[in-house]
Amino acid sequence: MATQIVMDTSGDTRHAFDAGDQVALKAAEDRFRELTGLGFTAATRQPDGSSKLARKFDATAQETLFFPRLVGG
Amino acid sequence: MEELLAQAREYLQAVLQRQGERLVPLVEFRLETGPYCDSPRAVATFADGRDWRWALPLGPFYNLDRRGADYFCRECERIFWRLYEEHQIEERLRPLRERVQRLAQTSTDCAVIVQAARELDLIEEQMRRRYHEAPMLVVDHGAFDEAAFSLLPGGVTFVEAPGRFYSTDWAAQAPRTTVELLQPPGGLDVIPGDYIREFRAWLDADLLGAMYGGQRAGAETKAMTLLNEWLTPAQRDQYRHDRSFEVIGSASGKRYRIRHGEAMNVDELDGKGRAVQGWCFAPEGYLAAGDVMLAQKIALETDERAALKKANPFIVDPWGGRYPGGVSFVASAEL
Repeated sequence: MATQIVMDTSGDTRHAFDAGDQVALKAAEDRFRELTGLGFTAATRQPDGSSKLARKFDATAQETLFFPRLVGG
Repeated sequence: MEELLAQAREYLQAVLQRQGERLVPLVEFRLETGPYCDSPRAVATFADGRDWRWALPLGPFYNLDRRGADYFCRECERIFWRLYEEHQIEERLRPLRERVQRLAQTSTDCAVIVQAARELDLIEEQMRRRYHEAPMLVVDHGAFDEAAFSLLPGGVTFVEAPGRFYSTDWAAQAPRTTVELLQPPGGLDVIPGDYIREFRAWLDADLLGAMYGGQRAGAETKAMTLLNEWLTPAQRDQYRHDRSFEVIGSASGKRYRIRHGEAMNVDELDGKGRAVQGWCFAPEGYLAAGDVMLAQKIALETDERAALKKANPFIVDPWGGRYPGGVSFVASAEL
């Protein structure tokens, strides 16, 4: 199961989906577009522990993290 | 949140009233958005129209960890002591004002009246300047816990005046220097230790308990779990060691240290691992510390330039102080 993790005030909300299920995959892609459209940054975790920005929806990513737009303090 | 503020408001009001009717009643106690680092400020408004504000510098109130909550509570307490001092100032000025008024009514020499009024202004200015430049606290002997104030920025140096007032001065100033405070008027020279102990008990039992019994505690835990999952093994070890970890900027290759926190917690390091510049940026919204640190890590490791473009710089001094601004103390000292 792939997971989309969205940071929020409760810590995070996780959306698990089966990448083999076309309906679920479409929903995940829609969520990706919606969140990035709102200013969220998407990132995926690499095998070595580093992270990589996800500018486009990656159907093969096992874990995608979304965090809100950055602002200066 | 409203409930917590109401509790704080109610308690402050009760304590103020018990200190005497002459103390100005509390009208409102609220939070507002702060101008710096997006930290909210607690505001107490009193019947004389004066507002007392203090920032909550460890991040949004909703995400305060235990340390931040403790800071907030001590600041709540501090406002009370400040009011008490204000009261002392007014008490001391009142007879002087009355004397000037009498002089104005009885004397026909304008020059003398003007001179007296100027002197009164000078006395008041001097008192208030000292009051504002060196924030002071008034407590009774033996009832004060120094450790509680170790959380204040820069720390607090205690100044002894046994048997009368205790006052504090910022650590940056001359240590353990006696500050001549106001002469206490009769009956109000010492704040009973019971008030302090009762206040502390209330803070611990009610305010902190309420803060950690709800969703926020869960958010912190979830965010820390997520951070732990996303850190590299080396970063995880660093964090376990001292609640901070280092990342390498994607564009410049510079090292940054992300310390546990939600604001003013990113330090740019030099070749020797010393902090030479602070950067303040965070994801929008009131996220828990773990989430903030993870977003900062990913931003610096993947798009350093964009992150720093959003960030505001701050100064990091060798003693751990952090101030708004873009010039590093260490860097300046080496120039």
